[in-house]
Amino acid sequence: MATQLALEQEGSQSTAPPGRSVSPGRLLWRALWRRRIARAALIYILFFYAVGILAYPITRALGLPGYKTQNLDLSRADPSWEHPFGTDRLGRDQLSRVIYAARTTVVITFITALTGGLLIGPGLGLLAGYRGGWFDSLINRLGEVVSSVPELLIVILLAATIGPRLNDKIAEWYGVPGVGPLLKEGYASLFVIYVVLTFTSWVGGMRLIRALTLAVRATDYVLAARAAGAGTWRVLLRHILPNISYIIVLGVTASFGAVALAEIGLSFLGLGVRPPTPSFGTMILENFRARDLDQYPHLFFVPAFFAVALLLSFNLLGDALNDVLNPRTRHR
Amino acid sequence: MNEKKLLIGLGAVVGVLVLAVIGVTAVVIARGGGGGSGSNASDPKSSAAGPRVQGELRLPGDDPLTLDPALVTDVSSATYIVELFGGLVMLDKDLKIQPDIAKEWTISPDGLKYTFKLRDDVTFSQSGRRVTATDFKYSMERAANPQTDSPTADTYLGDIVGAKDMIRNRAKEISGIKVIDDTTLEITIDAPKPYFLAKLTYPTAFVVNKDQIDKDRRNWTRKPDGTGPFKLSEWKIGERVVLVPNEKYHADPKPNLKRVTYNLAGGSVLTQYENGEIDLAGVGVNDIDRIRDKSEKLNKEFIEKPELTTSYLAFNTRQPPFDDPKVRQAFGMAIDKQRIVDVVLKKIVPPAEGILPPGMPSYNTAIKGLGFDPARAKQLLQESKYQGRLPRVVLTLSGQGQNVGPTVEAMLEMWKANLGVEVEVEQVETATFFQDVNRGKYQMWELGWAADYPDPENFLDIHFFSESRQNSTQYNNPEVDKLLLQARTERDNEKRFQIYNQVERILVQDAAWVPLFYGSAPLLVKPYVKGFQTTGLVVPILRYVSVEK
Amino acid sequence: MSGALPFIIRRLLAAIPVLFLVSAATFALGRFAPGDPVTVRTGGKVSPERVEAIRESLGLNDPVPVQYLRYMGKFLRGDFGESYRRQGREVSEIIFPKMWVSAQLNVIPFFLAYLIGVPLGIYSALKRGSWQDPAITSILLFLSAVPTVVWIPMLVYVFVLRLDLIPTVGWNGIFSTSIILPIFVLTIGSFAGVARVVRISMIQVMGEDFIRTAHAKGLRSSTVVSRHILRNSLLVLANGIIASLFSLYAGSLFVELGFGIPGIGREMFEAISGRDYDLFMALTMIGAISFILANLVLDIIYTIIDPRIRYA
Repeated sequence: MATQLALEQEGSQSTAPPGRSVSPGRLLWRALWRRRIARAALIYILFFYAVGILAYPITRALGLPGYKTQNLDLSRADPSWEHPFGTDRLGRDQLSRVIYAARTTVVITFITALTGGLLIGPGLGLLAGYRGGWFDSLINRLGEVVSSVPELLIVILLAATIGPRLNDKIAEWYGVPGVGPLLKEGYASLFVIYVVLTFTSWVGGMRLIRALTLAVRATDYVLAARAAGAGTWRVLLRHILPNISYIIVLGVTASFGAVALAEIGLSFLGLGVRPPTPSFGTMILENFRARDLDQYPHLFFVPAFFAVALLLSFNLLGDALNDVLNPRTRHR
Repeated sequence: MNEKKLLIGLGAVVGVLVLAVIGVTAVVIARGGGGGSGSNASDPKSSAAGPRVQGELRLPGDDPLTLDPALVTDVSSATYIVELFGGLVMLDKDLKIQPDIAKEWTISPDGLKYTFKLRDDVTFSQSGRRVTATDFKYSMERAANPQTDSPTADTYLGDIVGAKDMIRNRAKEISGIKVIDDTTLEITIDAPKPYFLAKLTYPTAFVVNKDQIDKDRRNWTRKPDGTGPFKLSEWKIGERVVLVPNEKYHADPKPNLKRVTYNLAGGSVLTQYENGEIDLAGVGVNDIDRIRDKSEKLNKEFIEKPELTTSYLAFNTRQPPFDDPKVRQAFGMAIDKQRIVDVVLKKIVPPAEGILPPGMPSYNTAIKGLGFDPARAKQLLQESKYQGRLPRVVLTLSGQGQNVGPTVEAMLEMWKANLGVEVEVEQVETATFFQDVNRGKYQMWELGWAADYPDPENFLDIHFFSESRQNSTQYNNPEVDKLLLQARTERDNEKRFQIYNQVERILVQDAAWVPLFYGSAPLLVKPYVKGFQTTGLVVPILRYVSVEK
Repeated sequence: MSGALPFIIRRLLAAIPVLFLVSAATFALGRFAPGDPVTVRTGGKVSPERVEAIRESLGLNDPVPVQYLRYMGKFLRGDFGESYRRQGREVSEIIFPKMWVSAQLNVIPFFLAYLIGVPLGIYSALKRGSWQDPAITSILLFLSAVPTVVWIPMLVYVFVLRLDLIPTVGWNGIFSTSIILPIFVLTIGSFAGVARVVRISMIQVMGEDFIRTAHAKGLRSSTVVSRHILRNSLLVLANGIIASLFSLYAGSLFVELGFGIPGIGREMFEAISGRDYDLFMALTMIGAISFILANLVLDIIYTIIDPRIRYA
């Protein structure tokens, strides 16, 4: 969550309204791709997400046992051809578990960052900034309420209080064909994490976008569009959104990293993903004892490596994006 | 004691959590085994901030939730309470009932009337006031008083004539307790129950100081005025508890230690032990291999002793699908306990066969469990009235915000592989868990039971007699009830234990519980600590201990 | 500094509804959570009649809003209630010592983060265009990417078990060796953030018109830079105080768990998981109040340090 904070601060200090010169997607992509570090980060992120999304076919293609398949004869085995990352204390293939942990991260970051960081945060920010009035004050008050309590406290509080209730509700869906098996796979606990993280993750984006919207709203062309009789939504979508989209991109990137980190923390506390579904948080927790680093270093370092690499990549990417979009603080 | 206590046993033994500190309940000294899970502490003052006091024993510990003997249900608190308070009788380190404040007692021929002759030289440790028979009447009535909210009065004092009336708020005193004179107390019970005396070793029957409680009803436990071998000198939440010997302690042996410091702060116990900052440490699953290695220097300081605990899987026998004994048996037979013990638990505990753990009177090696038989399990599931098509099955565990642990994960996988049943897991905050277990809200849960006093009644009668308050499985078997009633008043122990054996056989076959593992307390003790032993129960052990350093 | 007082008053008044909402939401969450307060208090082992009686005496049978108002009334008089898990212990006597532990734990990392972060950020900004700037940024990004829970076992393994440099983990007060690793982890967690913010604000300041003007006027660049940079660093520092206030609460949770330190983060986590209602209510409220006040102070500091900011 630190990354998100830092980025927001950086973003918010760039109070200059973005000119029309900010290039849309392709230019941005090209600018990013030219940077070696950003390219490496992007490649890793894409790789990670591809692995996560294709977890099932990949493990099948590699002929790996499922992430749940235990083999008590082979508890905590060293890495071998058969089990490249070794096995955990229940003899489950660690490579398979890492791949599925990636899937867990992919699912939770996607849904949370996209709803909280993209839809709810910026959406409310746009509306609040544009509409103003009571709606604006209401949203702002809500934001203040959420941000006046330490984030971790809210997350733990919500996970521990509404978590079990949500799980009960979700359990009612277990019988539904199609959805039920998915929920049983551990997606139910992901949903709880999602709700909890979304609850805190929208405020930053909302504030930022609101401020920017206020600035853009006063520009001549928006005034002109309104004078020409364009409705609220039209003005928002056609005239304001494109002008601030770069900030949204920044925010979403940042929140991907923040959500991935938060999931690790929650799972580590036992409030996150439920076993047997693997997640980086639970894998780190299971092999967290300093003394075990001696005997089974791979059980700790392999998942830790992939998780840290992802968080680092998001950090690097966010930094590069910031550079590209906000040239004044550029490294070169 | 209660399930809470045993929870620990299991949690500890299984060593679920890496982070001890997260645990709601945690392991206390003699309960050991926690290793990663529960036992952890560091001593703030005695280790880093100052040199150790001569004759000081430094132990890892947990914050006591209460120091009120009438309220205690958890092992952590009980460990302190047995050292601070005393009663009419007590258990010695071999779990034999010994005189404490009562120097002798007689039992009437019909087995109903107990006449205790009290010592006249016993005083409260802090105030120095002499303890008389009136104090005992007061203490037990205080525990039975509904205002006290004692969770244990019913179990431990309920046999006394009139106690239940007082607990139910129908009487102002317990009619069965009579003060004859300062040193004579007469207690009448409702039936000739040979295990009654053992119940009096439990804290609920301990003597407390009326003067102190009347003076400060809320805060008196901050400086408890008991009659135990030690008295409380300091209690700083989350940091340390310090006990000092009670110089006026009456029984032998008298305390030898100058000071006992419990470190509550947390951290890795084993690391602290190896650094010489604590004198005793439980060993968890993760370290057991290393410690067992004969070439390891710690191996010489290692002791392993069984605890009087059994962890088990319990079923609600009224709720589908476990209302059919065949389903229960199938679930039991599908678990390969030996494998879990060998691989996951590193043989730190033995797999359980019967319900009673070894060391318990009437424990009988001839009683065998259901055994591991996947083929038969599958067949039983088909034969059951559900014909293999079960409703949703949820296993409920206590302790939110904790990891489920490998033992449970291994069982889930075994059910899936051997029965084709996907069992879900649900974790519930501890207090709610116990309440809902008693209300019969869950289908299946995992718990442990630690004996409160060494008598099979404490396992079998309270859990399986159909009308028992703690019959959380809602088990109702007229045959078992008949046998249990018979055992209650059987005064020949030989015969009584035979009846309990018979009950146990029925229960194991009927699978209201599937006993999983017996308790064990692997422990490291510094060579200069003499006289320490694990006892399997919470007893005042520290007075046997001395530190030669 | 005209208008400071009305500004403060306005801000304080605005804080009231926020506090109201925070407290109401927390209270409601507590009641909504599965697990009943009386059950927690009694361990779930007393008779139903007694549970009912305790309920009545604690006023738990009243409608939730009534309970809430009663609680707030007590809270405002400074009575934070009683711990549900630890019988007979008042909330305040539990949380304040633990807050003190966390405060001690956090104070050194706090200063270290600025001591390292500010110069590093300035250096990085001044070296813009050379290889040092991106290199420093990358290292900082790496350091802040490693989660606390990954640092802890590695550090314990290396320093406690392998090198045997530090005797133990746990809490032995601020003047003991066992605080070194927690300090290390906490500092790493925050100095990277400080450095990055300092760098960016530096760069922005350097691009400001008045600095260009100053240059044009012939002022030596080091004077310009140091004066304005200093001011900006102060802003960052002020901002950081708020963040650190939060870390008193939550930021060091993992460190407290990992190293076995009896601080407030751990207490908070245990209170929430153990449904210690009054305890976590009090923690949330104290957290919210101190945060709102700190923000106010921060705003005032801002206007003093940077006169360009007007009372909004």
